[in-house]
Amino acid sequence: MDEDILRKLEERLGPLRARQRMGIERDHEAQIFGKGLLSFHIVNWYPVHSVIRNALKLTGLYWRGRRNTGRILVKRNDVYFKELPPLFDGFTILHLSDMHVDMNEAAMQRLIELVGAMRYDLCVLTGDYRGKNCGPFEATLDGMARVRAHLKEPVYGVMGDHDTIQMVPGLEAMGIRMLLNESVVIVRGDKQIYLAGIDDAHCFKVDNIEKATSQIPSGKFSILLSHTPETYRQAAHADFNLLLSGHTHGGQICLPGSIPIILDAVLPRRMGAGAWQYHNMTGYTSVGAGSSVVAVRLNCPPEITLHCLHSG
Amino acid sequence: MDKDILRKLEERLGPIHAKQRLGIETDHEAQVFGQGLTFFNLENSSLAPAIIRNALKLTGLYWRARRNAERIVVKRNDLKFAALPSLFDGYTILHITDMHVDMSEAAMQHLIELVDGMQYDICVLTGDYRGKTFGPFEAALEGVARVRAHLKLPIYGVLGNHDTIQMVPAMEAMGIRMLLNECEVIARGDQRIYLAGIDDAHFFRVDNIEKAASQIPKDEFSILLSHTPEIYRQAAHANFNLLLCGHTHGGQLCLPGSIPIKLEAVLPRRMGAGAWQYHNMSGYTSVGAGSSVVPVRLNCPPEITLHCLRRA
Repeated sequence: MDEDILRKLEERLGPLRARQRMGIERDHEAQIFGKGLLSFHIVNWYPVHSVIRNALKLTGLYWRGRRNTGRILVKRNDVYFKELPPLFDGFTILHLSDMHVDMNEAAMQRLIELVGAMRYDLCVLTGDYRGKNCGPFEATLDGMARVRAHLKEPVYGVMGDHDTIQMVPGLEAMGIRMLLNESVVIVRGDKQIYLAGIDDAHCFKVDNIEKATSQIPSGKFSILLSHTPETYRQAAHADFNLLLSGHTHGGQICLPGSIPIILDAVLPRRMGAGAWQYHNMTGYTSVGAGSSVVAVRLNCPPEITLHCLHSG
Repeated sequence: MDKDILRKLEERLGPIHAKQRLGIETDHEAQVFGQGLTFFNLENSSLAPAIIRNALKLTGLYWRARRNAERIVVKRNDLKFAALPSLFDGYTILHITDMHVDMSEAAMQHLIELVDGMQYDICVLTGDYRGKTFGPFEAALEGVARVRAHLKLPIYGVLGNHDTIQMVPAMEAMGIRMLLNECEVIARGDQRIYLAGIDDAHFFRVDNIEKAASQIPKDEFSILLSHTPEIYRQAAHANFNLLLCGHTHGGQLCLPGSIPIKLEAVLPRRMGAGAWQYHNMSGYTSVGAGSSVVPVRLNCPPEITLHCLRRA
C-alpha cells in the first residue's frame, strides 16, 4: 500500500486504529468470504452476480430493474424533537447513502442533476462509496469528486463496509470531513448541536460509539451517522436523538409492496427502510442512491433524503 | 434496579458504557428473542430446554449426558512466545470459563475439588457466571463466591453474554478484578506483561479493544481476555500476543469426534475449541467448566485449563 496514505492514516486515527482497520481489510481482500456479522455474505459470493442477472432476464424483469436504478426519488422526512434548540427549527440535512459510485454511473448523473439546485444546511454521506468491497478504489474517488463538485459545504461522511480506509485522505482532500469515531459541533447563533460518526460496524467492526460521544455534553441534541443501522441499541442507549444510516438498500430487490427478500443486516425488519423509532431515538435508514452486486432494483427505488428538523 | 449499584457502575465505567450496557440489558429482559450476533438465539427460547431434554431421553442419552457435564477435565496448554520477557518463562494461568454456576452445581463441586491444590500464578475467568441470560443474579453471585473461596489471588475476570453488569460490584468485593475494557500490568522483577479484558462482544457489543489497549506500550507482551473469540480479527490486529476466551462450549452437544452441531458464534470452526493461531496471535477457546440451557454434554467434556507460557 501507499506509504503516504499509511502515514496520513496513522496521524489521523492513531497507530492502533489504523493498524486494526488496515489489517482486517487485508485479511478481507485475501479471503472473499467475509466474517462480519453475517457468516455468509451474499455480496461476496462470486457467482451471485450472474445468478441474479440470469434469473431476472429469464423472468423478463432485468431491463426494468436496470432502468429503476436511475430513477432516484427525493424523499422528505420531517422529524420533531423537544430537545432541539429553537434556532435549529427548520434545519435541513441532505442525506446521501450507498452511492457505489463506480457501479452506478447513470444513477450518479441523475443524482447530480437532483442535488444541483437543492437547498439544505448540511450534507451527510453514510458510506459505501465503492461498488465492490475489495480491490482498487481510484475509480471510486474519481466518481466521488464528480458528485462532490455539486454539493454545498459542509459535507460530512462515514465509512461503509464497501469502503477502504485508504480512501479517507482522498475524500478529506475533496472537503468531505470524515467522522471516524469522532464528533463535531454545529453552531447557529449561540446554540449548538452535535454530529458524530462511527467507522463501519457491519463488517470491520471498528466502530467506537463511546469514543465518538466523548466530546458531547450530556443532554445536548446529537445526531449519529452510522453506515449500518445495526448499532441501534448501542446508539439509543448512548442518548443520541437521531441516527442516520443506510447499508440495507431497503432490500434492493423487493417483492411487490417493497418487502425485502434479504437485508444483509441483523436487524428488526421495521428498521430496514425509512423512518423508525427506538426508545427515545429517531432513526432513518436510507435505501441508498446506488445499487450493488448487480445494478438492478425492483419495488425499491433509490433515494436521496432531505431530513427537516423541527423543534417541539 | 438498585441505586447503589447504578452509582457504582457509573463511577466505574463512565456514564456512556454504563448506560449502554444497562439499557441493552433492560431491553433484553423485555424481549427474550435477542438481536445479537446470531439472529435466532437457541438459548433464549423457552422451549429449547424441554426439546433438548426430551430428545436426549428418547435416544437414551440423557443420563449419560448429565454425568458428562460433571466430569471436568484439566487441560494443559503450553505456549511459546519469542516476545515473552524471560522472567515470565513458566508463568502459569488457570483459565476457568462459562461456569454457569447456578445451573451446574455438581460440576462446580467437582471444580472446587480440582482447583484446591493447584499451582498457578494468576487465575482468569472469561465470563458466563450466570445460567440464564436474564433474570435474577443472586444465586449466580453465591455460586461464584463458593468457587472464589478456593481460588488463589490474583483473579481477573470479564463479563459474558449471560452476565448482568450489575454483578460487577459484588464480584469485585470478592476480590475478582473485573476488566471492563481495561488493562492491568503484571510485574515480575523488573519485567512486565499486560493483561487486558473487554466487555461482552457477542450480544451486548459494548467491547472496546481500542480503550483496553490504550495503556499498553507498543511491542510489550499482552494478553486479552474476551468472553467470545469472535473478536479475533480486531484483537490480532491490535497486536495482542494471546487471546483467552470461552463462550462456544465447544458445541456442548457434539457428534462423535467432538464435532459441534452449533457453536452459537460467527467464527471459523477451527477456533471453536482449544488452541489456534491467527496471524501473530495465539488463541485458546475453552469449552468451559459448566453447561447452559440444559446441563448436559455429549462428546465434549467440560474443562478448566492451565496455560503455561514459555519463552521461545
